[in-house]
Amino acid sequence: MNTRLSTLVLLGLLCFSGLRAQNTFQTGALPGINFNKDLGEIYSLNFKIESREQFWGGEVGSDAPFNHQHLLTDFTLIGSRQVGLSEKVNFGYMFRLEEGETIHRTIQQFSFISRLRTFSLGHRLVTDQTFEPEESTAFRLRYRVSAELPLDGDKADPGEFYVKLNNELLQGWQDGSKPLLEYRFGPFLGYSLDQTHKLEVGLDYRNRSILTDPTRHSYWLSINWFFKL
Amino acid sequence: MQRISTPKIGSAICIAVLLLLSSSAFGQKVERESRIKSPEVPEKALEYIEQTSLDKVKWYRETGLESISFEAKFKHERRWYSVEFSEEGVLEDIEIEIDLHQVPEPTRESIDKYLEAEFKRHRIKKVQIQYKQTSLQALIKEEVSKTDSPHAFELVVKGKKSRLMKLWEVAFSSTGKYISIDQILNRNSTHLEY
Repeated sequence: MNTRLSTLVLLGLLCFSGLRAQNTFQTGALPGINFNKDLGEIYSLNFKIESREQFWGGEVGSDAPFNHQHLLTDFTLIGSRQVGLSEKVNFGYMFRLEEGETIHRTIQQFSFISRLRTFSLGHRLVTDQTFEPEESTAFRLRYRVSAELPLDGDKADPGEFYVKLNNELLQGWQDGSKPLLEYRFGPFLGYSLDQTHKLEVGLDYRNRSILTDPTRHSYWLSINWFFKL
Repeated sequence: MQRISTPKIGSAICIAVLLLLSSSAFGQKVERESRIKSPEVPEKALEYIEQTSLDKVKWYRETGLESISFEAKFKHERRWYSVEFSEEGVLEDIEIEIDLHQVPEPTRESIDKYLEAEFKRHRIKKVQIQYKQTSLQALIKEEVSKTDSPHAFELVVKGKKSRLMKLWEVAFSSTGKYISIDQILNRNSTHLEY
């Protein structure tokens, strides 16, 4: 299937799921900080703190009033080993505080970057396992492709803006629940402050289930700071 | 279920660190390549390119720590050209992307020999032929054979010297004699990985 046809099918699925009854939505902000530290030439560490703040939520079409709720905070630590020019194998652990409960997640990830003449593509393939109290383990397989499009010149140099487009599909499995195919899309405006700092602001759209009803549409204002120590 | 409605410690940490980092990050010296419009190009350089009657030329300003240069990039007969000028608009060099098989056989053998001795494994990603004394007009109109006028070769090579594969820029003379090697540093791409 070519890219144009795939996009149309995906858009069709998104529109279809949006029209059904009892779909819900949530809107808010996802502020996050991403620290990176090289440990020699081959190994590196990534530590991320991300918080999820909901401002509006309810059924699609309903007139939901503003109601700020702090939903959760994630703390993620990922260890990476460079295995090629840009290829990395990563293993990580996420600790989530949500509604007074503690959730644990183990993460395995493979990533690589394709540098093209005027833009870059970052590929990320992840498997993860989530452990929640009184719930069976949830397994996910996710693939994300991120395009970085410089707005000045052929690459995003320090002091320049860029656009980043995230596209991600996540397949989830959990005992007692239907497998869910989630779709995420995120257009971001980024600014490269220097070789070590990047700031990104954009929309993080998530459709929790693009194939089965009901679904939940999430629209987050995502603000990320990438900082290389 | 009742949710906690006050900002939690995570949000507070995020915002505090964002504010702290913002004060240290700005105002540092940068090195960058910016796309510019023709009026910003030194007149001499603009005239040099305009006399070739090429269209779709993209201009860039390369701001280094100690110098500024201007670069014209365009595609001509399916080949990428890059023409570099000094801040005053004086021609510095012309680089044309070519295929490896266009490098004359004896030169290629000499280059291969060097690369095999230098790297455990390698793959040539890009080959450029570089001119400093030949005019762009002559090259475009093929008044001179691309390998007859004085030139050098610049290769981008993906090569493994130690534990890791790295990217290198290797320069050779027209006969394939090694001139220099520089490592091309990876750009920080954590925003595409995490």
